[in-house]
Amino acid sequence: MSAAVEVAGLAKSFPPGPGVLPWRRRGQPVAALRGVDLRIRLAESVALLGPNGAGKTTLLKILCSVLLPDAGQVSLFGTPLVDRDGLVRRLVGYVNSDERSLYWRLSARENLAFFSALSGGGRARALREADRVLELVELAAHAERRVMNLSTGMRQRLCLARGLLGSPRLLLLDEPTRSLDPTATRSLERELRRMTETLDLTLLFVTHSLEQARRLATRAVVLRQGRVAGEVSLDDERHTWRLGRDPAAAPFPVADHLTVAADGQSAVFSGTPAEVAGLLAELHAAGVTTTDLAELPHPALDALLRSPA
Amino acid sequence: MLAFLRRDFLIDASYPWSLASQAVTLVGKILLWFLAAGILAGRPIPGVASGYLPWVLIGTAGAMLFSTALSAFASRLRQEQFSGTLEILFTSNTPFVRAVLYSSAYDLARVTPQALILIGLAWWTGPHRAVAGHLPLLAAFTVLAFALFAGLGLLAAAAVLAWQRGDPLVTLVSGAATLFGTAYIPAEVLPGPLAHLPQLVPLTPTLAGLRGCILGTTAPAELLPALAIVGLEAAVLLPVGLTVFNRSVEHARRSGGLSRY
Repeated sequence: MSAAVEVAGLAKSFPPGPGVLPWRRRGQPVAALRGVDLRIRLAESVALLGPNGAGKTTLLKILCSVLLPDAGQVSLFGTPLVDRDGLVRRLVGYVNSDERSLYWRLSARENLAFFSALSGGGRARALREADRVLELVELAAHAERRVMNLSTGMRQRLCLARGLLGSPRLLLLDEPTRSLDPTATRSLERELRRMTETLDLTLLFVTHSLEQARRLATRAVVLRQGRVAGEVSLDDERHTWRLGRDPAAAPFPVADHLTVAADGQSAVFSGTPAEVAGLLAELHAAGVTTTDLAELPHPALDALLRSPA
Repeated sequence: MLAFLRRDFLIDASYPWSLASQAVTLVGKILLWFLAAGILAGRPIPGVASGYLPWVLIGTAGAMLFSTALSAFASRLRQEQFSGTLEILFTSNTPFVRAVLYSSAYDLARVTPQALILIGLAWWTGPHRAVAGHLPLLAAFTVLAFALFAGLGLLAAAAVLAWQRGDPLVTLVSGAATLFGTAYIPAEVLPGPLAHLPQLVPLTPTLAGLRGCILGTTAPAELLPALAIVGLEAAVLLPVGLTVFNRSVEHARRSGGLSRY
């Protein structure tokens, strides 16, 4: 068994919802997934991208058995997912992005102890498990605070902690950093990266951020209109950077992997973060004052997302 | 189940005066019926052999348990739907139907001591005619009544999953049962065709059994038909409730209704 997730021909449509007046129906069924094929290797980290309504959340919810598919097969760790069986409950952690999905009047620790107790094993075990995952997401210092008194970022981390209860082997995350500021986003990403490296987790997460996909995933899968539009390997350590220069200072010199724009005011560099640091030192030594250093989206992924449907 | 009880107790207790207000409401109910019974004292009431106060106190206890069992499943389910925890509960290791049943355990645990206080007062103010033969019957009525109420509660919860709104149904059934289920008004005093309605309400034979057993106003053998009716209703409604609820869960998983509200 080398695949954590295997999905073949997965289709799902939703019946048309009621109109504003419930007895006035209501249009056509909405096809959310139209034959998705996907394979995720063990311990792989995969980003799921695509426009709104592409079927990303639907796919996640089918994998954690909250939704039933209309057609297609799903296997988790080599076992077909027939229904909401023990397999899902044992192996899959689901992290939704809704911070309201916690009990706000309970403490962080009580929330986790409750959800942990649903696996059985008694209160003492539930508390130990709660403490363990609170440590993992660095919330141990806030364990006794009520959820309503935590910041949005802390609540998101608490949702992540809940997904880690019972040490799942597959973690499904639906926009885990939605509504977080850049600092909190980077902090949560660091924790996720650390956990995937140390806990041998397989990660499938929905995101709208190409940069986040680049930072967290080894592969990006793009869904569009319920189908896999394509996928891109992000294993490459080399990133693309754009940098400008102060016109009053020296011009860009000739350097490896550095492409200077026609007007000479900006350049694009392809390399690892360490190579960028080396280049900056090199440019500084050559009298170039650099400005506006920015990482560019992965070119293939960017092209895939921008390509017409 | 302890985890659910603990969760809901902590949430309930986190609201200032929540527990105190429940106690005040109970005292208010007792006072109301004490005064009403005082007004009716000395007047014969058809269908009430024990005096109105103990009769209505048992009716109130039964109606409280009935309405709570009926509404608890639906209201807890709806709360979890609103908050977004329903999907998380669904992915947990606890079977979903059990999670829904356990979610309402606190509401029943909170109401049961209140009902026992009312029943204790009814026994204290009643005619003390109960005999040993009433005790097993009382246990049987209690168990079957809970099974019957749970069946109805599951039907209400299924309505919440199917239509996102179960409360109109719960209010209708609960209100009708309270009004026509002989909780406060004996069937004999209802006017014209309305006098037949109590026979259709599941609460009626349950209350007849509870009153007969606790107050001893009906011989044990005469309570057996009421017990048979409650048993039959429970035997039908509990499996029907479970089946309809499980089907509504499947429907919600197909339609995406678990997180819709």
